[in-house]
Amino acid sequence: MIDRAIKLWFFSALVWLVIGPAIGAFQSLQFIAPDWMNFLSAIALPYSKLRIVHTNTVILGWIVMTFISAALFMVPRLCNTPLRFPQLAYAAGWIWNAALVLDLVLIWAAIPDSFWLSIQAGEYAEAPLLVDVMIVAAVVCVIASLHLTVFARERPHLYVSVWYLLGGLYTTAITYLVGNFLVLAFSGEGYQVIEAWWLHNAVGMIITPLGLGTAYYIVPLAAQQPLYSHRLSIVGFWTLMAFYPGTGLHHFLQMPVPIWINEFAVISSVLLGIPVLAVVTNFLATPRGNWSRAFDSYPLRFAALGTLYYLATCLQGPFQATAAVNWYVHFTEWVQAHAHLALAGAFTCYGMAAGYYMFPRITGRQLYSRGLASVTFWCMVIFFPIFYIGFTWSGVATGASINLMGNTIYQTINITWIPRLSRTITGTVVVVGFIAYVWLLLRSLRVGAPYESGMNEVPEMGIETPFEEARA
Amino acid sequence: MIRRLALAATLALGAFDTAGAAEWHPYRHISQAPLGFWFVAVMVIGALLLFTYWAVERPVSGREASPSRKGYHALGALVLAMTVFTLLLYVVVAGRIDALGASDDAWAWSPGETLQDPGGSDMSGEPYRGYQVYRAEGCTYCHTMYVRPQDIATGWAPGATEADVSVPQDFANYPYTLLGTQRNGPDLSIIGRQIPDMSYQIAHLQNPRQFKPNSIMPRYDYMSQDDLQDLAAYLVSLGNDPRKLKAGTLDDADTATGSGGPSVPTDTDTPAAQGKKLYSSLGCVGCHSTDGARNVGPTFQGLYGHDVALESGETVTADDGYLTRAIRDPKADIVKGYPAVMPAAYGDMSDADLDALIAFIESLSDDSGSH
Ligand code: HEC
Ligand code: HEC
Repeated sequence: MIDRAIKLWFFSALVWLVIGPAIGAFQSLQFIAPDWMNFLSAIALPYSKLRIVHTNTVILGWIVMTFISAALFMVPRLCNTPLRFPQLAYAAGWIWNAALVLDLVLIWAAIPDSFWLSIQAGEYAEAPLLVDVMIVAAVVCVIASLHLTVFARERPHLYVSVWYLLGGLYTTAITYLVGNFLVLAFSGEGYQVIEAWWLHNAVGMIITPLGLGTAYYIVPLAAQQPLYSHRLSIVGFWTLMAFYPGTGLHHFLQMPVPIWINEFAVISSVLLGIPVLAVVTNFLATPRGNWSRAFDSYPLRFAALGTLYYLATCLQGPFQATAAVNWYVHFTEWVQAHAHLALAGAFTCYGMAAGYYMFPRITGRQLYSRGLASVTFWCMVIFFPIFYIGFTWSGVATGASINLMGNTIYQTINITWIPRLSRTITGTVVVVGFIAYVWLLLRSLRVGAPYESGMNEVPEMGIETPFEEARA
Repeated sequence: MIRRLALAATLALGAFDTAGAAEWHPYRHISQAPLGFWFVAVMVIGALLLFTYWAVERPVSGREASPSRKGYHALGALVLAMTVFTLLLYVVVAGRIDALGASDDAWAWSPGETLQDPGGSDMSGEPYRGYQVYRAEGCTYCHTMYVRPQDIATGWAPGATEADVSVPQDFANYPYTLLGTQRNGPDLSIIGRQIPDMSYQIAHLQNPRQFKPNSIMPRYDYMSQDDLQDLAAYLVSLGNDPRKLKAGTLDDADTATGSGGPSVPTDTDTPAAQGKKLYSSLGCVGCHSTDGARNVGPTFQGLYGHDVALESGETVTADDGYLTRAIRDPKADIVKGYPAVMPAAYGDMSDADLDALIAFIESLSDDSGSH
């Protein structure tokens, strides 16, 4: 049952990974060849709805599901005791999937005026109330199962991953409740203020702690080195938890609210540098002396790459939150590029690191192809940055055209198609990389060599056995 | 219930707020922040820095000890307190804003109220429901709904003035807001004043590229007629004083089409006034401005009686004959520097309509004076 629960979350996440990013790449055609996309209107699924589908599937489907599967895998191991009530976690997996499917159907149906079935106004909180109830129920089940495991642990001390994963699930529940239910108590612009609280915490209090907890587990194990510093991990964890919640309003600088609350959000954002530097130092210093593990260990490669992207995101974030930069980039694709750097870059890398690490251990199969694993890795190393740069370039160009040259948005369309084309092309390559990853895992299910504990996830360098032989 | 609690919390923390509601101005300087703000800011930042300092500098013996059981609980409590505190900060602001109430000309449409198309057609729609449609269709991912002070000076909000800069009171009657974080298309807060015409709005929604050849906006031609009319009614309601719209007395001074050029007669019987209606309902408004701004096509302001340079190199005077040709057979003469995208479909409009349109264009020229 324990295995089934983990596998359910793990493989569902893979399915959403195929769907979500591909929709993103596809819908970007709207910006360069809108007439090709007219057929979407014929099926009542224009860009504006597809975008919601895209964000919901990548966040709730791929990222959160994969990290929950990681939590179900890691927390019991760290506590040295089997997962309690795996039935709950298993049921939660199905509830979650059903909620997402229902969510997508309701987004498509676009019912304007139903309390339970209309999508909500908040960005990333679009899921209708009915879906929200299901999601909260699922999170509560997972928390129950995991926290009971932690209570029954055989080790008195909690490793930092456990704080992050369990704490992250609690903050997930709280944030979700605020963003989807508490906001209903407000109207007018008050609604937007609470929504802003949710908007950034969807990333900061849901995805970040879960992702970092996963990485804290992977990095030392994959590098076969003890964690660099427990002290830094304490600094990182508590400052993150204390500082993230206040940042949301930096998405609405110059919205008509008192400037000082915006200022508070900006100050919080800048202070986030403390947890970020603590975490990044810890991750990058842990494999010191044993970086050569990166030749063999794909989990280590992805965790390190994810950390670099995480650092880049988190340096960019405070930078663009300050008023001096924000006036120029606000409303442009610069901001969307930033979101991709965090989610498609950093956290997807962590998710893939977790996938490469967990797959052999939950299925008993080694990954069948070193070459394909390298393809997924180099795709993220080479094409993802180009994709990101094209995306950002579009934002910079828009900013120049409108802020400095006084052009209207409509006139600006005439120049932004160039970076937008680049973003579509490179974005497609990145999506192909994701699909290759999913293919690699699924195919390994059938043809991967049997895995025994102590082996590398992928056949080690030098012993390139064709998989048919390996099976025999 | 939750709302009451939030308001109570607001009032409790409001004790720190030395300024009265009247002074709750959105853009006041940070130095005017209430005492409560400084209290929170100092507490939060101080706690963070102290904690960091402590965690980095505290001596640890032998192997790095992790905090004791008590230590965990203390830290957990601290963080929980912080999180609740920051949330409360947001809740206070949100509650205060809610308590401000609406300004007189704020958007104010309740469920069930209908709006008669000010553009002259016999259509009507429910703006409130249109707002719900707007949310459900996801328009907010390309359009925003607020004007910042800096937008006026840049290309972000063409046609907006100081008076259009958003204040919290503008949104008080909305059950939820869709201010938006992304502008792939223009801000829509004053679109109803700029183009107060449901026929045009619907035609544009159904096929934006018919008016704006490079537009990236998707077609919304799959929506039901009801949804379209409600949505168009909502768009028309934006930026217009709801009292005037409800009374059907939206006069020209309120619309950008009237405010730009010389004043247009308001008597509905004059040809120029009829032409103004046609200008909206036939969709000319999508491509031609009346305030001198360049759009897809040239502006109508100051066109009549002036020289026009053509692609062919010739220069012609915009008299009745030229205008007739330009409207009936757009491909005959192409204005220099503009694409030949004006629809040819106007060829079969009635002579009366054509005269009305020309009279309208004439009324927008300085030297034609009043009609
Ligand atoms: C892909 C982004 C996108 C989406 C989604 C979108 N729009 Fe637009 N919209 C644009 C762009 C770009 C323009 C400017 C060019 C034009 O007028 O077509 C625009 C212009 C407009 C205008 C101004 C028309 C004018 O003549 O000035 C209105 C009104 C409008 N959109 C309403 C809507 C509504 C209502 C929806 C949702 C049903 C919507 N838009 C969805 C991109 C979008
Ligand atoms: C799709 C956009 C579009 C629409 C809709 C449109 N026009 Fe035009 N119009 C243009 C463009 C572009 C030009 C300049 C190129 C040309 O001469 O064809 C133009 C030129 C003109 C001219 C000549 C202007 C000059 O400066 O010499 C007149 C007059 C005119 N249009 C009237 C109208 C009227 C009246 C309507 C509505 C019944 C209308 N247009 C609708 C795009 C449009």
